[in-house]
Amino acid sequence: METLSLLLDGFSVALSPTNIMMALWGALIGTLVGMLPGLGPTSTIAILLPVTTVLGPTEGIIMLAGIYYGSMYGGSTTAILLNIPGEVSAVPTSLDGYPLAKQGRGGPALGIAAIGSFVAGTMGVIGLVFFAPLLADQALKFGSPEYFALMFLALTVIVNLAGASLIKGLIMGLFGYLLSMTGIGLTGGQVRFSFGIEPLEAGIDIISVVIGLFAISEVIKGMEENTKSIAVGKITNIYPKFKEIRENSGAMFRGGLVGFFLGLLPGCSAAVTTFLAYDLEKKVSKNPERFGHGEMKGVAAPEAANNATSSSGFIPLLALGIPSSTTLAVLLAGFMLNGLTPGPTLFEEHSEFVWAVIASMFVGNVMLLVLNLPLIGLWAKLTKIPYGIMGPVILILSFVGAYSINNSLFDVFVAIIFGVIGYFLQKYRWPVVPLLLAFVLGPMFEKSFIQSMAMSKGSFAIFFTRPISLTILLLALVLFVVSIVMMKRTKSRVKDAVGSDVEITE
Amino acid sequence: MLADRVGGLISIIFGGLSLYEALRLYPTSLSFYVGDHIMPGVIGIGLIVLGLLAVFVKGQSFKVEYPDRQMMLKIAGIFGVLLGYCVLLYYLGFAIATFLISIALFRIIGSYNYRKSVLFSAIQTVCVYAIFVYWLNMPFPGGIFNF
Repeated sequence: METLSLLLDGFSVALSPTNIMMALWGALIGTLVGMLPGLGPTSTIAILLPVTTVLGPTEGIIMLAGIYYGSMYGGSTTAILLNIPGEVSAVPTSLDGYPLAKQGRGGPALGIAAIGSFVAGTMGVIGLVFFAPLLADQALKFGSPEYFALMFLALTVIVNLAGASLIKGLIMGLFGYLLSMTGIGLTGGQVRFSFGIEPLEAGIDIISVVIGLFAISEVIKGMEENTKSIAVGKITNIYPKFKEIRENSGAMFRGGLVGFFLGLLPGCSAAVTTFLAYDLEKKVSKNPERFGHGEMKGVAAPEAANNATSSSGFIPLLALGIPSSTTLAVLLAGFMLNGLTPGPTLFEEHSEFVWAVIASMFVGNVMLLVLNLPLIGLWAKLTKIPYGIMGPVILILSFVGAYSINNSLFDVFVAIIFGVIGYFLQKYRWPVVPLLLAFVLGPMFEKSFIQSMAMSKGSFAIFFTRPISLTILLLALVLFVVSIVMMKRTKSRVKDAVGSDVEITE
Repeated sequence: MLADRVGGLISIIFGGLSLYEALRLYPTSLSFYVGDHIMPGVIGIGLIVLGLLAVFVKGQSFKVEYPDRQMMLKIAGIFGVLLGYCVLLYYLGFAIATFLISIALFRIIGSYNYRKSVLFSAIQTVCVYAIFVYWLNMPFPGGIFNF
């Protein structure tokens, strides 16, 4: 009952005119970046992070969260209409969505995708309402050794999402950690890794690194690949018949459950859950031969899984401070920029903020459904914007975003340097996701390790003699093995679907 | 692959730097495991070990393709323009610097003629100025013209 009461309080904040506007902006921007080539949710959130300091934490995070789940809606449009899945997680949607579009049923497929996304997104947020406070409550019992085990779990599993080479992934993770240590040390207050360069004494800001690695290098990549604007044909009726919605409701529900529960695991990205949801739907179907040739359930299930995963990812983020995807890692940086540390204490110390953000996700999901279905034609027109215009706009916004962090040209310089580095890292297939995740989690990892060592007077036994810590470490081991198996399986499914190896590092 | 080996060597260099920092910080630490030196030490060892593995273990083989000379010049031009933005922002202020830099970016990325580039750049500058300076009140340098 207390949870519901807090949620109602959250609604009273989320339904203020300003916060409704923020959720609306977030949902619209998210849908747009989900559709447009060259600008994903990660870079968009990174560019807009400094804006949150002006807007205020509640308003800012509501907008950024809207961008995150809005982009999940947007990604399905190009996958269905053009067979261009912007993210690996949209590949299963295109397997049946595009054949449906070729049969002249692209409109209803988009409608089913939007409804499935809404149903599963809402399921995910309901799960978030009940699971996150429960988990946070348990996590209040955690001491430093448990936190260290938790960070170890997050780092172990997420680094596994490195791509083709584990060695390269681990090196990038350690490099990210090294970058995060620049500046004042956490325990002794000593300046580290500044090498006499004064601006480095304040540390390297993660937002500059993200803008460089994701936004600037992405523009260069888009320019090099001569990214064309997308011409989408005229979309007729987008409203599916009631019978179609009823027939696909089971697929939406199953996809939502797969996406939600697997999305709770750190490192289990939407790329994994969408393929699993698609395969499950094929297995339970009475007509599995229809899959791949225009089966509506093949659109409903992965789209539902995609959105449920995006919602359930907020549970470990809010309750434990563990981001389960790159975009959530940047969002975590956004929390920190506003002086909020996700984790169990967030629910106690900033209860109004947390519940307002959660309530806004209900509001945002409704907005996405109500606004996006009639606006699909308009979104399709916006994808015609040439890359020659998109590129300069992204670069100027990146520059402004990097400058606004501390009103310092040094941060801009760092972003440009990481833009260059990111370009070469992409060329030589060095994954940047582990760098980012280790950068975000590094300071928490170090703090909990040093506190544990101080508590135990230097004995490592502290991690193995406390039941919760030991359980989490064992879980990390199990998840490490399971995620290796799941990633191998997903890679092979992606290869079957698109005909070549694709790096799955979402 | 040669590139992976080079990456491994860079990792070893960074690992060495990290170890150097750990040794420099060690005298100020409370104990062997408690202090600002411990993680630089661990990371340093990790980078060196993994760097050695990258140098000696045979990795995935693939072909890296670079674009033609003209495109490479364009890419270098973009980074040059962005660095130039830092300088212009300081001397000319946000509005003028954004306008001039946008013209260059529209020319390089979109290959638009000067007329179109100036038009797009003016629209972009007005929009960015309205959002970040007028609406969000973000402080940017005014430059010598204080604009």
